[in-house]
Amino acid sequence: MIDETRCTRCGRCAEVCEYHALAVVGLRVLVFPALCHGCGSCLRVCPEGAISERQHGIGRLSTGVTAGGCRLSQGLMHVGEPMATPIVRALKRWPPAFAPAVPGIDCTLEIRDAPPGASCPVVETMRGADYLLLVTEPTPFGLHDLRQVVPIATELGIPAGVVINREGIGDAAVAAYCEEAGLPVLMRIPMERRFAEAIAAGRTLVEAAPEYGPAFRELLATIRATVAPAAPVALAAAGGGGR
Amino acid sequence: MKVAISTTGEGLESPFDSRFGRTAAFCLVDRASGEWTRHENPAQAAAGGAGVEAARFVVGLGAGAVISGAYGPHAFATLAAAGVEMYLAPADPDLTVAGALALLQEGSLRRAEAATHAGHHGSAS
Repeated sequence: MIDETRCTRCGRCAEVCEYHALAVVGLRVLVFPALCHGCGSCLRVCPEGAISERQHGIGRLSTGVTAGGCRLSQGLMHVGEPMATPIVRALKRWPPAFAPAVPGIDCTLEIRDAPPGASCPVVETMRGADYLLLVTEPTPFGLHDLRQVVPIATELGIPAGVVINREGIGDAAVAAYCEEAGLPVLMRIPMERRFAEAIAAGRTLVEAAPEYGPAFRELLATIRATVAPAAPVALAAAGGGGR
Repeated sequence: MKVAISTTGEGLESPFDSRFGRTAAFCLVDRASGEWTRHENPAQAAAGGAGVEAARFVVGLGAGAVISGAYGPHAFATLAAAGVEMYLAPADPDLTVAGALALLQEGSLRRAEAATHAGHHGSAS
C-alpha cells in the first residue's frame, strides 16, 4: 500500500521492481498486486517510507487424511490469480511434513505431485526433493516435456527415474532418450482399457489391478535405495504428455 | 503531439506490430512535423509485467498517443493514468508504421476504451 501523503512520486519503487508491479506515471502511483512477488525491494528503496505491505490472499491450503490413512495436503488457488508458485512453496512447509496421521503408517515418505511440463510450479515442487520420479508416455508430447524437465533435475542435483505410462502407444523415442540420458526406466504400465476405466471412475491403478501392488512396492524400494538409506524421503513426481 | 507506434522493424516503412508489451520497438512520430525516431522496447523480454514496463517507457518518451493491436489490463491502466490515448490498428501483416499513422490521421482508428484482453502472465510465473 502506498501512503499518498508521504509519496513524492520519485519512481524508485517502480525502477527497482523486477516484475513491474508498480508504475509511477505523472502524479499517480499504480500498484498491480497480481504481478507482485512479495520481494520487498520497493519498501527498502522508498526514501520516504511511504510503502507498506499487506496480506493478499491468493489461495487456500487444506489438509486431511485419505481413506488409506495417508495425510494429504492440497493448495487451491483463487480463480483469476496468476501465480501458483507461492502456494506450492507454502504447501511444502505446511502442515509439518511426516506428521503421523494414523499409527502404524509409514510416515517417512512425502510425495509431492507436480503439474506436467517444466513451468515455475514444477520447478518449485522439485526443489528440495530427494528424488524425482518422471511419469511420461511414449509419445512426442511425453518426449518434449521430458527433455525440458531432465536438465532442470540435473541442475538441481536431484536423481531421477522414469515411469513409462500407457506403453504400447506412440513410439520408442522416449525409451531411446532415457538410455541416452542415463535415466533408469523403473516401471512400464501398458495402455489398457480397464485401467483407463478405473481411473475415470475415481479408483486407483492398484485397486483396478492388484497385481501391480508388488511392482509399486519394488519401485519405492528402488527409489529408497538410490537416496540416503533410512532418511525421510521427499519424492517429487512430475509428468509429461497426457497423464 | 507525438504518437508511439509498435513495430517489428526500423522505421516508417517497417511492419506494424500488433503486440504492445512485447513489441520489438516503438516508432515515435511527431504528428505535426512528421519527424520520427525509433526506440527499442526494453520490455520485449521482460520476465513479467511487460505491458507495465512498455507503458512506462512510452510515457517517458513523451508520447500522447499509442497505436498498437491490443492492450492488456496493466498496460491499459498505466497508459490511462498517464492520459495517453490508445488506438487500435488491425493485425494485418501488410500494414506498415506509415500506414497505421495514415489510418490515425484520417480518423479511422478506434480508441481502446478498456483492456482488450486478460493478462498473459506468461513466461516466468
